[in-house]
Amino acid sequence: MIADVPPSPWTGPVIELRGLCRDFGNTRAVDQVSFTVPRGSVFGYIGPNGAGKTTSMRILSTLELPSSGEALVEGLSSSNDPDRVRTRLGFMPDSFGTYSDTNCAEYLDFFARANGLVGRQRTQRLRWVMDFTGLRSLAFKPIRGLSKGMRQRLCLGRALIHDPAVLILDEPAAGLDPRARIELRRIIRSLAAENKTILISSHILTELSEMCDRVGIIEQGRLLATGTFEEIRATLKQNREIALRVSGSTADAMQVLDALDEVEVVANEGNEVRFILHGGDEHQIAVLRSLVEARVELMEYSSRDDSLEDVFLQITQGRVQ
Amino acid sequence: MSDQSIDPASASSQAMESATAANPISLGGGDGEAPYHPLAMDVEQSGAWGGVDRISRGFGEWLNPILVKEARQSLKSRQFIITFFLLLVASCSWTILGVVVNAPDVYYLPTGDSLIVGYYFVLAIPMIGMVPLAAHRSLAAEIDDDTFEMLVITKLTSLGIVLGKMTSAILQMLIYFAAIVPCLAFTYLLRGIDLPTIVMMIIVVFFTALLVTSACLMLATLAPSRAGQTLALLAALGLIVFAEFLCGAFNMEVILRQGLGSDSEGLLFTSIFVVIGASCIAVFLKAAAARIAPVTENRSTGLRYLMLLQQLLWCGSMALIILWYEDLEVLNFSNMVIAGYWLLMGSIMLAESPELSPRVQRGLPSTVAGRVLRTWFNPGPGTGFVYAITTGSTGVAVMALVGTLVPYDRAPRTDSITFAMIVIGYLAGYLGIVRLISMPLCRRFGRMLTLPVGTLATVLMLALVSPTVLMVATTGAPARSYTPIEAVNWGWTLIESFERRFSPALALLILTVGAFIAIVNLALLFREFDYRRVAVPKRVLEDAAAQTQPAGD
Repeated sequence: MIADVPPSPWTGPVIELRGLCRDFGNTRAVDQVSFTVPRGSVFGYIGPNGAGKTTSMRILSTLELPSSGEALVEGLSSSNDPDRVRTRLGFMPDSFGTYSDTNCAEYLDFFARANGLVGRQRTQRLRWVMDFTGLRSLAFKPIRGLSKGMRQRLCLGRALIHDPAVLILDEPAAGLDPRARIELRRIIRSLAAENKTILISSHILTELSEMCDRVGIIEQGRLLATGTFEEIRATLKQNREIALRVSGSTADAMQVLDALDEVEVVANEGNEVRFILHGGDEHQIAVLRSLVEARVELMEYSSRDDSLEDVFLQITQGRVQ
Repeated sequence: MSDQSIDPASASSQAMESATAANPISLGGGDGEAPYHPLAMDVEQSGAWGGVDRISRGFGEWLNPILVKEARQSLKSRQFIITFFLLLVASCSWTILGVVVNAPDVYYLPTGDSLIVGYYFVLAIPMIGMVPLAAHRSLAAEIDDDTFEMLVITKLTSLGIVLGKMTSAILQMLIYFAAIVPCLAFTYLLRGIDLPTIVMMIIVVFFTALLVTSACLMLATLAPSRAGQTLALLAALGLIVFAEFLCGAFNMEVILRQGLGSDSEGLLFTSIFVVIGASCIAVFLKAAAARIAPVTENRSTGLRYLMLLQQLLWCGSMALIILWYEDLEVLNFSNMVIAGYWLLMGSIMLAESPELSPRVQRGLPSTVAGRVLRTWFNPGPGTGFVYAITTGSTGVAVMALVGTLVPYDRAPRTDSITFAMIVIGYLAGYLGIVRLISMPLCRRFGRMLTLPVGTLATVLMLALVSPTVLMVATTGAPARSYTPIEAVNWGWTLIESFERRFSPALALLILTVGAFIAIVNLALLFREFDYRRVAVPKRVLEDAAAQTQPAGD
């Protein structure tokens, strides 16, 4: 059970970015990025390398200053009130340094003390974090001797040690084994259920689609799309991959499909045809109707919607800056 | 029976998910049966030892977390173990050697004075050499190893971080000192040296070590880049060597040889050293904290108050010495130090940004009296320029007035008022020139500390050589005696005014030119005084009120 925290009276968005910009010399790393994340939800931040995800996360975590715009946590500015923001925030960066001659328990104890935890409160949190991260049996082990995955767990533990209301996780799944990834997914959902607000970036898009309430897609510093996965998909030209299997020859089916403008055949092998349908449900119904009316003997008809990866590839162009 | 195909990866994933679903929230992979680390356990033991444990833990709660972390790290580090072992070996070896060499006199004659020289070096090398270097590396490594960012997003303030580093250095010093205490007691028992001298030697070593450590911490924060860190490390090494030499010379020549430990003069000098040293330590630590603080915070006002305090302490100490010895040379030296100090500090303040963040503007004075008296303490290059000149000039003027209290019978020397006019003229003039040159440079290349400081060094160097170059260019030979054209040359002018009576008219000219350059600067900095106090946002007030409410409300 996560330690009890008094509920915050703040009812507005817990995370809010307003026209955030960050320039490094002549390069604009973050360009007019705006979005909000309500309490208890998980927001996935998606973008190619160098898109500006880490920079905007660092600004939100009070580690960088915006060139213009504002990053707010529970209505408090990360640049003008960093001390107030930091008490609410747990940040897990994509890479982090460790101390020599320090073991896991000492590392966590240090950050617990640094975050103002004292006495029984600190020991309770230490036990919770050690159980949570699976580091209980490695408590005496020097950090330098930990594997990448174990270091990731330790870093997540450090971010959670003071029981923050907001978690900013930059590539948290990197280096975790499959079991830990599954657990991470479950844990993020349960943290959100505990009213934690989570901003998470990952390159593993299938994972994000399963754990995030909303996503934002960023490229070259600009937020290209934001909303639930379904909302983003609805704004795009819909593509579905459809596979059908017929009894006997596919010639009749091919004749019907070739006559339809919204269909693009990609494979015709044996008694199977696979094609891309550009359109929504009504187009799919129309295709099926045409095939049936042409007396094509269908044995199997299956469709697959665009995944988050497909949506991501449609929205972004792979440009880096 | 279902004919659906099953993806093996998905199946294994589902199996894992269902297997762990029954367990409490965990990333898994840990051994739930393993005992907890003692740090994660409360003190449950009853009885006397349980009480001691509880008291120790309670005491530990009050300590700076960095001190706790560094103590755990340092005491396990190879560097500390080797240094401590070598210190023990060296002190034992010196004791045995001293007794053998002095035998059989050691039984009858006072020999403590010869042994303490060795103990001094055994103590001074780790305290003034190793500890400051370790503190420097410790803070620099936080920045190098990417641990610093994790530190700053905790509740620790920038000053808390620096103080944590400092206190952990002090802890190491105390451990080294504890190891040498029996040896110092042994020297006292051998006679030949009195207790006040030993105490004074320890105070000087301890304060020098504190001073060098704080300076090394400040140097660690100056440059975040690798090249800059290398230069900072070199500067720290140079400082340590210089401090070892100076502290050694002072202890050997003044405290031990002349036996100043027990007389009032020695006490006066040591007290002044401690007072000025303490103010320098405060300034260095505050400056280090300012360097690592977020740029939206007010990083200047606190430092300016400390600098003012430091000047008050300096003027007070120097006035005491001047009145004690009735010596005007000390006064002139003191004024030169004040001018040099404010030239350097003024140049550093010129690198500050003229833009004040909303957070800083919340703390600006709001009343008319507050604005008149405290605007000079606001961050910014313009306020810094005015602050440096006015504070420095006031200090010099006060010291000149102190000089008038001294019986003045050294006719060939320049009087204190004339000397003060020269010093104030140079301070205002050269700092004004540095500002005029560095302002466009800062706008072009960014607000780097090195720009105004580098400009100051260049301007002072050019001022030294340009009259000579001009003379050689026009007459073919450098000037043999002081002429008014040499007024630009601050070095020659100050030497001249030390050695003989300097023309008050020329001093007035230097003051007038300096004041003119300062006034030209004033015309360019009015924008900085337009800043007004802004209200604290409602959300911040709400949050502050929520935090002060008792739990459960």
